[in-house]
Amino acid sequence: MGKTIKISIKCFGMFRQFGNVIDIEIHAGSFADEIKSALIINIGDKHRNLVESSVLANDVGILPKEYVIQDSMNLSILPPVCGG
Amino acid sequence: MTEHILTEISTTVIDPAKAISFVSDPIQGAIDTFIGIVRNHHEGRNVTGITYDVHEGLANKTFQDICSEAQGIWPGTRYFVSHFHGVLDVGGISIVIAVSSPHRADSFEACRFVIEEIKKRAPVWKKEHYVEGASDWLPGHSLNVEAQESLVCCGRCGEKRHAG
Repeated sequence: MGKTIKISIKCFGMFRQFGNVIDIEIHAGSFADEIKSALIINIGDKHRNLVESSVLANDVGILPKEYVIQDSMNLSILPPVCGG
Repeated sequence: MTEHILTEISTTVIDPAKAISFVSDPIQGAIDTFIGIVRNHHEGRNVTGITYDVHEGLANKTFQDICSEAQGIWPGTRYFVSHFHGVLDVGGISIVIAVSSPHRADSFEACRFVIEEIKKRAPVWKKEHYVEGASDWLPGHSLNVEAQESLVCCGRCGEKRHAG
């Protein structure tokens, strides 16, 4: 089991109801999908569908599910989009 | 800025004249524009305004990607995209897209392509405000598909996806 790292998740759209940033702790080496699982625990299971229909992103782009988180970092959670 | 493509996120009133000016050129015989406006109703509810939430860096990158893709499909076209970030009352301009081309067919088709792709892919969200005082975030299009085609790599080897 890796060391514990802190992930700061910036909130957009429907996630604004939980604040501008949600901090969670995971083990280094976790997959991006495991961050989403930790997020569901943080905000409550009734928001599971919202989290599962959303994606995590860094400043470069959307993270694939198999993205491995090695160190503490800032990410964003992007719910379904509706621009224009 | 890519050649002949200008995209931006704006927190001030968007001026369509700026869009037309950017894509204008003596070799272009057609300009098509799309202007998104906040309307006063949605699904039977009276709307007073909309808050636009935007991931500015990724949204602008997505606009660039979409315009570059369109330029590949319709060579010789030029693009301007500006999306508002903040709160707009009814009648406010949320987005302006201008596309120019030598002949009109390409401008029409490319402009439609750009707005439809933005609606599906750009990290932008709307919160509608209603006459009775309530507000709701609108449902949208999940980016899960885009995640499967992400340019971000596995996280083990750097910031860009590996070749192959």
